[in-house]
Amino acid sequence: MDSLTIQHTDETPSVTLDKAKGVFRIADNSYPDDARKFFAPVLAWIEKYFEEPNPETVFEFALSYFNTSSAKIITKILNILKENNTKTAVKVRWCYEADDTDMQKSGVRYQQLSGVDFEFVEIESV
Amino acid sequence: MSERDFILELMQSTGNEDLHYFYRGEFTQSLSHQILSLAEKNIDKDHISSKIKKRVFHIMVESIQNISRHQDEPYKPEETAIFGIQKKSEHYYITTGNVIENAKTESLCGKLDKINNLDQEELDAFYREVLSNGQLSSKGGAGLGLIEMARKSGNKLKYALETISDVMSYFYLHSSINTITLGEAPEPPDNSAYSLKYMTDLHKFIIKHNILLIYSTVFDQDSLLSLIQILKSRADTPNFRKKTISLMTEMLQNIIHHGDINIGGIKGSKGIFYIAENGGLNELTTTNYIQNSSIEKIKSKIDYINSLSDEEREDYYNERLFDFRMITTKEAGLGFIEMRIKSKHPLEYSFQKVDDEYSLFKFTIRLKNN
Repeated sequence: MDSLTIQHTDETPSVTLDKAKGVFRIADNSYPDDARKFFAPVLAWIEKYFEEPNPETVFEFALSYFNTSSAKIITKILNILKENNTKTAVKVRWCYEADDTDMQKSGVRYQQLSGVDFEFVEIESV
Repeated sequence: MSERDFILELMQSTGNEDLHYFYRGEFTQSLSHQILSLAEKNIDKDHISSKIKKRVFHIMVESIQNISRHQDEPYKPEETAIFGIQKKSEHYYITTGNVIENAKTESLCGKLDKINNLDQEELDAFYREVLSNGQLSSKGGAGLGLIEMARKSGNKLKYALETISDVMSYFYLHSSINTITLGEAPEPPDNSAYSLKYMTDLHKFIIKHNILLIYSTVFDQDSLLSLIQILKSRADTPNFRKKTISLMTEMLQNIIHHGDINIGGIKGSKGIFYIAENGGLNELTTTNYIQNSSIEKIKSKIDYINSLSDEEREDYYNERLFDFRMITTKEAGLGFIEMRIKSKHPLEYSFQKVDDEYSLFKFTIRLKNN
């Protein structure tokens, strides 16, 4: 399956979805006016990937900022991961910048609500 | 001016015909760049010739460079520089303000008086003369900036001085640009005296209320992104910077989604955003127009969120975060609850009726700066 790469802009994140390399990553900032529009191809790719997933899927979030409209999309992605938990070993790697307690807290919230395995990684800068 | 009157007046004057943009804060090089880019985006939306746009932009650049050239460090909060653009009756008015040592005011005012006494031809000659003399002051200015502003604007440069102390004064510089080229139509009325007074009054109010940064415009995603860049360039702690950026994004995207109005010549999501310091807390405030019919809904939403205990608030947030019925609209329905949780303080609001259809909605988030 073709990979999906989107360069980041001032308002939208960088996206790397690469089945062959086993890289599934959303990083930088995300505060588009309409998050649904931006993430539509991303969600479509993820749905399609799970038709024939790798044995292991580590999905990485490394965000510095995201707005509430993007928060809903993250929930949506986590839901898809949860639904496909039995087909592949799914794990979320939640990266947050050192001292960014809000971002860490968001991760913990998602961990508790999604029922997906989480790994927390403190990083210097996203 | 009482606060009530000020916000009302400021909001009502942010129509297409009036205040475009006002900034008070630091003027470092990277900030100056962002301030200009934000102002440029504003001007770009106006229906005027690109020739006039260029002229306005050119004068903005000179004005801002003038601030960094003449601003003497270090500054107290009341000494921070300002930059503002107004558009009124076919004129753009550009105002800057900065502190200056009293010892330097005489020479600066002398320079301005001299420039104001020259006609266009004499200005050109003076420009060439200063250029060839090449006497640069210690901060790189040769008075060329001021001459250039007078040449490009085609109008006299107004200025005002307010004494701060025995050593310092506050200096306002004001230039006006006609949007109608001479010969095309009768000379539009000159409101520059009013405009300069308005800006100095606004500045006094801002100092009194300890407003660190204020921005008044038609909000859209573009202006939000520029504001984010401005906040990123400010010297705040990383955590506070992140919090203010997140909170401001939610506040302004709320206005962008819901504040779109058409009232008395004002179109679009007009609003004011400011950051103030008050009683050890920082305040983020927005003011925008909303339809009277939406007041009850907003009130009950905020009141409900404020009434929840910490635990209830978390439950409410989680419930909404995982509710996918709401994903069919642009908004996530999480804005207010997110702001309440992140700021750790009750949300504050007030409404002020404007007419039968619209009211002003003032909304404040308080948070600790640490």
